[in-house]
Amino acid sequence: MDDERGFTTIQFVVATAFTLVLFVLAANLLVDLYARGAVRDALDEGVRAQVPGAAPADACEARARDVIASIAHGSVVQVDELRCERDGTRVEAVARVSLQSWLGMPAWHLVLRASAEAEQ
Amino acid sequence: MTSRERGFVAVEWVAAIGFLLLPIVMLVATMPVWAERKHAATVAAREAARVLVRDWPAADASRATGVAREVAADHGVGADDVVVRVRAATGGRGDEVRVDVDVVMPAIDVGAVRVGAWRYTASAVRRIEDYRSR
Repeated sequence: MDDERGFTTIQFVVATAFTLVLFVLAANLLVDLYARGAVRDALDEGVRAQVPGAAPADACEARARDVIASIAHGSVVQVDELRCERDGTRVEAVARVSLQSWLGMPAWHLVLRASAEAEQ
Repeated sequence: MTSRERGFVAVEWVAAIGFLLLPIVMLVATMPVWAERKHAATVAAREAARVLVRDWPAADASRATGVAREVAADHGVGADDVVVRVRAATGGRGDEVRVDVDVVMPAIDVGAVRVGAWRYTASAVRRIEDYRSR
């Protein structure tokens, strides 16, 4: 019995540590999903800014960057590339973003798009 | 440690993961999908209705449907999960166009695991301006 003393405590500590790691991963996933939604919203805002015929050429990109800066700034999301293109009546925005892991795991790289029909 | 106590902690650990952690992880992974799809349906319906009004009086319901599907695809919603219904695509000045977009809401959506679903409908209504020229 003496050599088994404290055995359960060690198991408890290890189990708790693994549990907390899982919680951190779940929280990381939640924040990443928020960031993905935020960038999609930003692209939607961007293409809508370009919808009016008299909108300046850089309205889409400027608006999208503003929105990302206001709702997902800091280390939450890293924008690797953001571009907007107008093809006839169609405006399309594309962003390549990286979402960093909190536990040293590989970053989540995403390519997100939004499009809208411009006013004539 | 008696023979009755052997393996007790291991069983507790497995049970804790199975009954407590996994449901939480599934909820965490699934609930944002509901919000995303709701938003996708709303934006898709809005864009389709806007195209119908823009193209009036030569509005094309199939074109509006295509726009809605494209917006949904941009938001990660596959074509199989979207139904677009264009109601009142044409009309006179002062009339309204209406687009309903149904999206499938998975009850559980974790990676490749998808169990159960229901449908959410977003509607967009836009009025054709009263004094608009043709």
